[in-house]
Order: sequence, then C-alpha cells, then structure tokens
Amino acid sequence: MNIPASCLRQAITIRLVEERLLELYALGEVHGTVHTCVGQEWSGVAVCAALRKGDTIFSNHRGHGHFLSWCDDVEGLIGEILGRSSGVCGGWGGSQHLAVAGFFSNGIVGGMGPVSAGAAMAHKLRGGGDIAVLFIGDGGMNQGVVFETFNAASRFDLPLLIVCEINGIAQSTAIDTVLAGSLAGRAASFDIDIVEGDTWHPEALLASAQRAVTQVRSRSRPVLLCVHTFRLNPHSKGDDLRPRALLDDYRQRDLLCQWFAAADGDIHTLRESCRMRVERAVQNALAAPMACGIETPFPARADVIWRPAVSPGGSLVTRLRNGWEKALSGDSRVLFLGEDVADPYGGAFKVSKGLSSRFPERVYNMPISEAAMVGLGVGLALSGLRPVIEIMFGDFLTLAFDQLCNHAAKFHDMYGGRFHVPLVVRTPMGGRRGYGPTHSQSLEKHFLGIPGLQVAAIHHRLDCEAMLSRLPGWIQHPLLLIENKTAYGLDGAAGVLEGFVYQETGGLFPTLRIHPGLQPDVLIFGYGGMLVEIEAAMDRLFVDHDVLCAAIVPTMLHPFDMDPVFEALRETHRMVIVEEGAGFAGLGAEVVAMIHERGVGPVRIKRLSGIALAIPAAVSAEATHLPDARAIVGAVLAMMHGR
Amino acid sequence: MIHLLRTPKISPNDDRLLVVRFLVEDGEQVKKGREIVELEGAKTVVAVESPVAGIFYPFQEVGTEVPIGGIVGVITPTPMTRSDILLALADDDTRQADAPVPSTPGSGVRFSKAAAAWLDDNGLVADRFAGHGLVTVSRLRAMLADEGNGRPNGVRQGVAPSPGRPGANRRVLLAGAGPGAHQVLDILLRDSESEVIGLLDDNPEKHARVIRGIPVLGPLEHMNVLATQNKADSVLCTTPTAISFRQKVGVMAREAGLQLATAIHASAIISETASIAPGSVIGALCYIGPETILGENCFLSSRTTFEHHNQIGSWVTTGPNVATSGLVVVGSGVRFGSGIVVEPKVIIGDNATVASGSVVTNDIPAHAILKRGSDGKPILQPRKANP
Ligand SMILES: Cc1ncc(C[n+]2csc(CCOP(=O)(O)OP(=O)(O)O)c2C)c(N)n1
Repeated sequence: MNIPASCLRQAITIRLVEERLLELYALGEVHGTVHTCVGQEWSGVAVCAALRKGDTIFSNHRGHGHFLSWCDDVEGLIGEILGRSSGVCGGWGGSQHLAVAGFFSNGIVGGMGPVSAGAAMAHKLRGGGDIAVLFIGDGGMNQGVVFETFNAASRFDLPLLIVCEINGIAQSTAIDTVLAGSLAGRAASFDIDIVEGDTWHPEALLASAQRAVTQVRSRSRPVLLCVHTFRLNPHSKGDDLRPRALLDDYRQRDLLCQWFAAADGDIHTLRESCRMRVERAVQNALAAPMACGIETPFPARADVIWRPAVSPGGSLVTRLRNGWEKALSGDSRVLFLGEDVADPYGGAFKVSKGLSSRFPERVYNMPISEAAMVGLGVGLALSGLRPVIEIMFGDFLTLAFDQLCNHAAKFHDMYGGRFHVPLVVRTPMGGRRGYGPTHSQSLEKHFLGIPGLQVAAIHHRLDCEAMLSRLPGWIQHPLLLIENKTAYGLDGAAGVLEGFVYQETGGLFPTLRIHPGLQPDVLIFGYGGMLVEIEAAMDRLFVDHDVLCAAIVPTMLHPFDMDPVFEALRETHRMVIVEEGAGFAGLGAEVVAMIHERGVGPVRIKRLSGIALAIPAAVSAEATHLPDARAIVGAVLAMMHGR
Repeated sequence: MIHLLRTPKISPNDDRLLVVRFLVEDGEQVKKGREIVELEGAKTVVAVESPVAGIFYPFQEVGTEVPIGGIVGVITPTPMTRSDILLALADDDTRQADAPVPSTPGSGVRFSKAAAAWLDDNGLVADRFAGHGLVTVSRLRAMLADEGNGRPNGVRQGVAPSPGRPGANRRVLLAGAGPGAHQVLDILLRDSESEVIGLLDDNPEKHARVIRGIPVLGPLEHMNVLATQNKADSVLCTTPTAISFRQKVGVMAREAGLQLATAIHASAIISETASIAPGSVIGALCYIGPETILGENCFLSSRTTFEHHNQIGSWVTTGPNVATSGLVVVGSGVRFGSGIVVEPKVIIGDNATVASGSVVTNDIPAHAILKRGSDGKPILQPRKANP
C-alpha cells in the first residue's frame, strides 16, 4: 500500500483520540456527548491531504476527524471536548462546534451548506484559487437548504467541494427508508459532477479526493465527492440499534482494526508514538483550568447624552439608496445581494435601484432561497467581506431563521470570540399596503433577544445615509436591519413637529427623543414605522387636547439600551408603548419588564399593538387591525383621565 | 476637538439669520476672539467671534438664511478635509450635548387650541408669549400664578404675568434713610393712600433723626419688631443702586409678613395694560408703555421710559432719562446710568451694567458692562470682574 506516512499517522491519531474520548466519557470527564467518526477516518484524511492552506472547511456534528486532518491540533480538540480553557474555542464550542483558521463545524445538519458556499464565493471573488469544502452526512442530503446550496453553488460557479459521507444511517434511521431518488440524482439535477471513493481503499480515496479538489480548484465549479463508509460506533453514546453481527462484520473489514490487531511492526510503533501523544494531550487538558466566560460582545453604554437630531431631507428610500451607494463605493468588501435587486428592477422597493449598474460585480440577483442567501452571507462575512442581504419582505425572514440564529449569531461566541460575522440582513416590515397576511407583518420581535444578533429598526428621521456609509467600517456582529414599507416615501425633514425638540443619542443607531421642552404629561415609546403615527398623535394631543407628550424612539432594538427610557419615564411616570407587530412577548413587553425590575416607582403603562389575528388584506379591515395615531391619542387620553 | 460655530439668537423675533459675509477665508488660521462672520437679523447685524484658536471652515454660503442654532462653520485644531470633519463630528459621541434647538414658527410659540381660547377668554395678547415654545392651559396658569406670587422674572425664563398693579401701601416703612429716601418721600407724602410711619437705617448716626417729619426708627434688623410696634403694612426700599440691599429688604419684608410697597409719582404715566410688580419706585415723569412688564423692587429715576412690550426684570435701576424702545427685554439686576437710549428688541442680560450716555443697539450678555470709550463709541466688556 502506498499511503503517505503523514496520512497514516493522522488516521491512527484520530482513531486513538476518539477511543480515548469514549473512555473519558465513561469516566464522567466529558460533559455532554461526543459523536465519533470511528470507521470513517479516511474520509477527512484523504480530503485534507488534497487541500492547501487558504482553503476553508465546513464540517458537521461528526467533525473530530475532519478537524484533526486539517490542523492536527490534538491538544486543542481534547481540551475543547473536556471543557477546558485550553480548548480551541476556549471550551465554548465543545465537540460539535470547533473552529480554527480555515475550519468551522456546527451541529445543525445541513446548515453549514450555504455558509460553505459563501466562503467559496469569497474565495472566488478574491481570485486566489482557494476552495471551500463542505462535509455532510447522507442524512443531511434531505435538507432543503442543501438543495438551495447546490443550486447557488452550481449557478454561480463556486469552487465548492461537497464531501458526502455515505454511512447509510442517520442517527437511528436507515437512509434508504427516508431518501427518495438518489444522491447522484440530486447532484445531477444541479449539474454537479460526482467523484466516488470509499474508506476501505484509502489509497484510491486519496486519489479521488485529489482529483475532486483539483477539479473544483481548476474549474471553479462544485463537485460532489461521495465517500462510502461505515460508522462503527453508535451515533453518539449507547444509541445503536443495528445488529451486532453487522457491526462485527464491518469491524473486521476496517483497516485500522486490522492493523491494530498486530502486536508489533511499523504500524505498532507508529501507534505507540501516537498513543503517547494523545495521552500527553489528555493529561495536559485535565490539568488545564476549566473554561470560563469570554468578554461580552456588547459593551455597556455610558450616560445618556442628547444632541440635536439631524432630520435629513429627502425620501427615506432615496437616502437608503444613497447610503448603500456610499457604502459600496467606500468599501470594496461590501456586496449587495438579494432577490430582484439588480437593475433595471432595482429591488421590490427600489432601494437598490442603480446599484447593480454601478457595481455589477458586487450587486446581483439571488435565487429565491432565503435560507441559502443569508447562509451565503454568513460565509462571506466569516471570510472578511461585508455582505448585505436583502430579504424582499420581512415575512420571508422566517425561512432564514436558522441561518441567523444558529449560524450568524452563534459563531462569535461559540468559537471562543475569535471569529466575527459582519453580516447585514435588511428587510421591510409592516402593513398598510394591502399586501395581506404574509406580506404585511412586523416579525422583528421573533429575532429579538438572540444572543449575538443585533436588530435595528430604521425610522424616517434617521440620518440613514450617514449611518449606512459608515456601517461597513463599524459592523462586527450580524445585524438585522428592519425598514418599514410605509416609511420609504417619507421625507426625513418634512412635518417635523413645531415647538418640539428633536434630539438623539450618539452612535450609528441613535435613540431619538422628541420633547415638548416642558414637563410632558405622557411618554410615548415606539420604533420604526410607528414614528409617523407617534408624531401625528403628539401633535393632535397638543393642539386638540392640550396634552404634552414626549417620545422615545430607539433604532437599536437588540441589544437594547433602556437608559433613555428610564430617564424619560422619570419625568412622566406615564407611558404608552406602541408596536405595529403582535404585542405578546414583544419589545414592549420586555421594556415593561425592565421598568419593573429597575423599580422606577409607580408608573402607569398602556400597550398598543396589532390585533392578534392574521393581518387582513382589505383596506378597511387592515386599518382597524394596526395601531395608528388615533389609537395612541385614545390611549394617552385614557391614561390622563386615570383609566 | 472640533468647535461648531452656530447662529446665535439675537432677538426674540429672528428665528433665522442671513449670512452677510465671512470675515476670514476658508481654511484660515484664526485667533480666539477673531470675528468670523457677519449675520443679519431683522434689525441688526452681528459679528460672531471664534470661541477658540484654530482653522476655520465655513459650512454655509453668503446669502443663505441659517436657523438659530444652525452651524455656520467649524473651527478645527489642525487642517482637515470636509469629509473628515463630518466623520469626526459623527464619531464624536462624547461631545457635549448641544443646546436643544426647538423648531417653532417665527414667533417661537405654539398654543394648543384650549390655550388659544383661554387667552381669548382672558383678554390676553398672544404676542407676549413669543419664544415660549409649546403653551398649554396649565402652562398659562402656571405662568400667571408665578406672577401672582411676585416671583422675579429672569430674562428668557419667560414668565409673563398679567397686567396689574400692586395693592395699596397703607402704613409704610421705608428701608434706607439716605438721599433716595427724599425721592421716595417726595412721592409718598403726596399719596393719599400711603401713610409713611418711619424709616429704617443701619447707620446709628441717623437713628432718632427726622426726615420731612418722619422719624428714623432703628436698624434694618429690627424691621420685624418695629413693624409690629408701629402696625406697618408694607415696606419700601429707598436705596437705588445697592442691589444686594434691595434683595435683602425684599427677603426681610416677606419674613416679617409685610407687603412690598410701591411708590409711583403722580406725574408718571403707566399704561392700562402694563404690569407693575410690587416694591418699585417710579419717579417723576416716567412712562411705562402698554403690555410692558416691570419686575419687583425696581428703582426708576425721573423721566425713565420703558416703551411698549418691554419685559423688565426685578431690581432694575435707572438714572434719569433712560429710554427703551418697544420689545426690549431687560434682565434682573440690570443697572442703567443716566441718559441712555435702547433700540427695539434688544436683550440685556441679567446683572448687566449700561454706562451713562450709551446708545444700545446690540444685545448685552448677562453680567457684561457696556461702557463708552473716549471716542464716544460703545465698548462691551464681557463680564464684570466679580459678578
Ligand atoms: C437540523 C438538525 N436536525 C436534526 C439533528 C439531530 N441529528 C444530529 S446528527 C443526525 C443524523 C445526521 O445523519 P447524517 O447527516 O447522515 O450524518 P451522520 O451522523 O451519519 O454522520 C441528526 C438527526 C440536528 N443536529 N440538526
């Protein structure tokens, strides 16, 4: 057999590491679980042998072998799984969430698909010939986002090697009982070439992997490398229902098992040296301090300092467009992707009109694959670019929830704070356009409170042109940017309330305060598209009802700065909260809870929100469904009269 | 640190100023105090000085009208490009909060419907609330209640009392037995509604003396006792210029449960719609115009004219022949010499001093002194050494 010594050593090391981890598990040293790749080691070894520095690997729940084949960091891996600060991710990731330069694994089956495509896209844009690799099980080949990934990777000619480890089983389910068609058919339908190999013939597998990698690299096209293999151990621990005889059969076929049976010879010597290395790593890890927290990504803010608000002229959509144009021209890392964003259409709400004509290589249309689009953005961002993903309607964000919550938002923390995802996902929310129940919602509350995910809501008075032009230089963590359909046409300088003072806090996402200059009677709290209604209500309340209101309108909804609210509430002790989305468990609820926790003293609070039914399409029905200026006026007056 | 040069408020009625000309070049190094730009309001042209040394960059063009508080230009410590300046301004989160710039219509006041109706019902003129921002009924009530308490009005704090006269003096004690006492006695001895029962003075040499038939009863600190013994109703300060003394008398009177008396010469003309807070001395041939508000405890020498729609603070003193035009605002504690003319709409800050013979065309900041140079031209000294 002609297997390079380094590969032999790697395969043996992987086997020994995992067997040792299982021993440690039995001793109670492993918190959680481990998915071992015993029997499948040659897959990672063969693929990594064909890769080079600069390539990027995306792996899954069964990734120890891939990880060690890539970086050989035995100490980092064992430390990580034993929950030690010496682990590659400082103990935050554990078995399924490993990261070093050029390697990222995650525990969502199929979820890394679009992320790997994004990294491949970044490699392609950089033009250095590097490629991305996705390791996926055959069970993962039923995941929708994987099909989206295949489609995008093929259509955009991305240098992506998809390595499918075909072990015939997913957890406890035999693949053939749940898979229609074939893996080959899946690849073929997306015009992706297939290369085959298996772990019983490592020499041939090394050659196949080399061929696949070369093809991906030279043609900048995706290739599916099918690696036939067998999982010798249970899925995780003690959960194997397969017949004993079958397992024994495969154990006998397994090369490493055969080699290890010999009591002496070259392999034995090699194994002994590897064993000592693993043992050293185990002892070092056990001696290392237990993992502790990393610094919080969102520093606490200073005192509230108010400065004059800008109230910029021009319609919001024009200012957004100008802002993105500045962002694109000011920073070559910025990419603007989405459905129908390219000219001449220029986006469903025309935010990107003209951008693709000016920056054709950085602004283009995406397939209708929200999950893949956002995942692609995650991969691009992880690769150091500044992607901006437009989701045509906020209602469609649900399709990308996993990519935002389990990928974009997690990576920084779970990889020990060493990797960043400077991704922007922007989308319009809100009703009053008659688009009906699936195109009118304000769903941002479902994205609030996800650690690591910033959510901001733009209102028409925000100087978004300045904000966007500075965004690429500022952003470190994923940001969901909520716009509002009805606000797009509003002029930021028009209709400023006479006699009221407009002030804002500092930073890119300031909180706006509208104040009557005198002791206000009631504080109104709301954000985004609600600002128009709040202003109208404040004006009516003053002119018609002789009541003075102040308003606090945040733009950054998460992480949320309560200080301006506390400060304003101390003045009024009365507050009306207005949200366009369904109110239950929304930002308003959170604000009320925080007020209660802080103990601001006796306060009266009313909440207004959309009625808890699907948003009707009919104009009259929709109008009664969503909170408006009239409702705010009513709530304030009721409060003034003690009701 | 980048300094912003903003348009100042120079009169209650100008809510924007015209950029007339720049007195330095774009990018010129300027010293602190150097005049940078001339701005024109409805009545006057003012020059804005650089608050610091540095390099000046204009942010407006000649001929543009800039709202009050708008940025005319910036002073930077080192040369900078325009976009760097903008970025720096946006970045500078720790910058001091700027004064809020409320957006109000030209008059700077907005009434709720109820407040407008209330004004109508009470026969009040909306003009007098110029610059007060949002006005509701409860705000109006609060303003007028303040006036009823005789609370002093500082400039631009803008409490506007309704027109009114102080009540009758009845039995009056005079605080101070100096020359001013003669002026006051001249007024009150002819006033059938006042009965002067005695004088108070801290100088023991004056005790037991009699001035125009009125005895000096004792020191000021015995006001409480002497007032009770002599059944006094009110007290009036006769010392024109010592403001701290005038203030002290006011406090002691309140503690002794006495009213502040008022002395208005029979020859003075007070408009029906003027409002006079208690405690003032208004000399012969004075004129207080319509809708003018006079704070408490002022001392106006003969031939003082406060024309229509003036807002005069408390403890203001004038020499003879001081005349203001309409719409002038005078802060509390302002001292006028004699023979002074004040242009319309001028604002004179609290505790400022105006030298005799001045013609006041521009605003005078609080605590500043307007002098007359040897060539007769006015010189503005920013602050008294010891305000
Ligand atoms: C989205 C998602 N669904 C379900 C799971 C639970 N789960 C973890 S591994 C696994 C089986 C995956 O099978 P396969 O993709 O074939 O990989 P293998 O375990 O065989 O290597 C399942 C169901 C998961 N982690 N993520």
